[in-house]
Amino acid sequence: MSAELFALRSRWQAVCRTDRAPVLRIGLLASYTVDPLVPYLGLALHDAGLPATVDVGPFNQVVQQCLAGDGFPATVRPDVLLVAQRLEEAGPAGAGWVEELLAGADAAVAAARRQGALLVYVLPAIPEDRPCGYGDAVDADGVTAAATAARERLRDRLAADPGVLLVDAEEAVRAVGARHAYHPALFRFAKIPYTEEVFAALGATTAGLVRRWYGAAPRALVLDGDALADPAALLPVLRELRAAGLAVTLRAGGPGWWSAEGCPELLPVLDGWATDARPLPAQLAEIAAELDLAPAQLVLVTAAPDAGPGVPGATVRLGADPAGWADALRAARLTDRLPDRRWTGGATVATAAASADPPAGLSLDDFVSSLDVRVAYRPVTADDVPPVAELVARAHDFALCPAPPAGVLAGRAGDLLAVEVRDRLGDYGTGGLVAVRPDGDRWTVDLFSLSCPVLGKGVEAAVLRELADRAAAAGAGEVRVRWTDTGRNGTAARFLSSLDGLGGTPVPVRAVRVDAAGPVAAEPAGALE
Amino acid sequence: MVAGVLEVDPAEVTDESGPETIPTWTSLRHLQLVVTLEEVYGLSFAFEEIRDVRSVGALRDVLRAKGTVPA
Repeated sequence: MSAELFALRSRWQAVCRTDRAPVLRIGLLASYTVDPLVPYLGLALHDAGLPATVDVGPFNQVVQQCLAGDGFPATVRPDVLLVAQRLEEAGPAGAGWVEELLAGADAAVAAARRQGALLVYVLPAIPEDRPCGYGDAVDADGVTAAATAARERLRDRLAADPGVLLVDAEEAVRAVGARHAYHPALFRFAKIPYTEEVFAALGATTAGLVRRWYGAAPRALVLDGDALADPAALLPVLRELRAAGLAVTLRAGGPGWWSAEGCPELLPVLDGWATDARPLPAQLAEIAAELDLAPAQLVLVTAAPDAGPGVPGATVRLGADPAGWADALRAARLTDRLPDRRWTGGATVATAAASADPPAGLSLDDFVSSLDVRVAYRPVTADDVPPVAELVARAHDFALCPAPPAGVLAGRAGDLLAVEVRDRLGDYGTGGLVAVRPDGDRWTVDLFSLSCPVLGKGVEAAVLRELADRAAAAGAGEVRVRWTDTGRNGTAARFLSSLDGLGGTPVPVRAVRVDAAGPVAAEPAGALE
Repeated sequence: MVAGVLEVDPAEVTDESGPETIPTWTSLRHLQLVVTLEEVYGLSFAFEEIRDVRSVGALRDVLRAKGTVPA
């Protein structure tokens, strides 16, 4: 993370600590860990005069969360739902990518419409993992070809939808450069596919689009006369921007500025100015009022490295060398805009996508069934304990109790079953761990953790059904699942609260909530009841 | 730098600080911390180092072993 991005993240933290009044609620739902996007998107929207709260939905459950009546969009009710899917999570490269991603996109469109939300869909980047390497370019069925086909099908499907904006992850990767866009450890340990630089680019682009959607696009430049010693260097680009519809204004700390060299040529392109001793925010407020704009629609253009904080709207810093000012101002993309059709309000185009219902034939149960999830179980040996202990330590969302130390797990390795999961989209390896204590007529489950990549696929129910089958075969009459509220295991709590719906097991499966401060697995059987 | 990534008061951070003592030291922040240190000091952590480092002091040891002298 560069010092510049670190500064942005720090500033977002500072913004979050202020007593701000968010005007937008943003929901992020992705097939990968998308949390690093939050500070860059949140800060860019804040600077654009659209302060927002940003919530992140469950990892890699785009279709499930969008189809479920109590899924993430229904729970958060966002004004803007951002959905990002990667091709790498959509199964093997090939024609199947189109179907997988369209299913997610259709579900996202329907979910956004149900909530009255704007959908921002992130077109997936072309995967970097290409088996033929350089040869992929000459393979009509290669990764690049398949990815390009899938991307264009998505664009074709979504670009015509007036309730959808598209952001392109490939553009963000290209802007950063592939060499700087990926960090293997980020994905290996946290399923974060991109570096902070890519997330920063995605955040800036997304905020720019959302800003324009809400009509908060830049409408006027404010040249910082005190910091622009040679304003004549900007004349050509100012004329271009003015012709493109932007107003051009100027502020300076006193009327003496007008005696500076270059001012006579600048005067004809100015739509207004404030040259007096008032503070910068007061000058900007007056300029905005004169132009009948909101302060956030102004863009301060300065060569001062520290100007801008506390000023509404964006700031374009041009650098110290006047020779580079024109290029820097052009690169600020102040005239980017949405196609005219985006301004129709989204209510006049009748397409199949305009329905708030899920796509025909696609239900949550159908989708989960279509995943063809296979769950297998294997005993845990002493050598297996460290990796499964690591899995349990990371499985915060679906856990029955605080993660027990590896030593505790090693002490009861004979009770442990590793849960192996795969489906038609991939093999997730060991995705969970469960521990059972047979106790007379009852089997007690006191450790059951699943990692995020295997959630949303029905694995939790499949595991309990398997345990019920095994308990019945062993002559037991009941399976009891003991759990405690860890403060972070809401996914497990919701599932266990609806165990009545499991049904069809040979012996009853009951969930019992216990209050415990320590790891349940560290306690002797029955000690917490 | 550690305090900035973990969003805590710098006064709370000692060599003994780790995921057990700083609630915001999640696995995600752990990775962001490592990546930030890599960027600032121009070096790379091995997978094992990323996985096994569990405190500020251990981070400092890794940096020192790689020839840097963090403050």
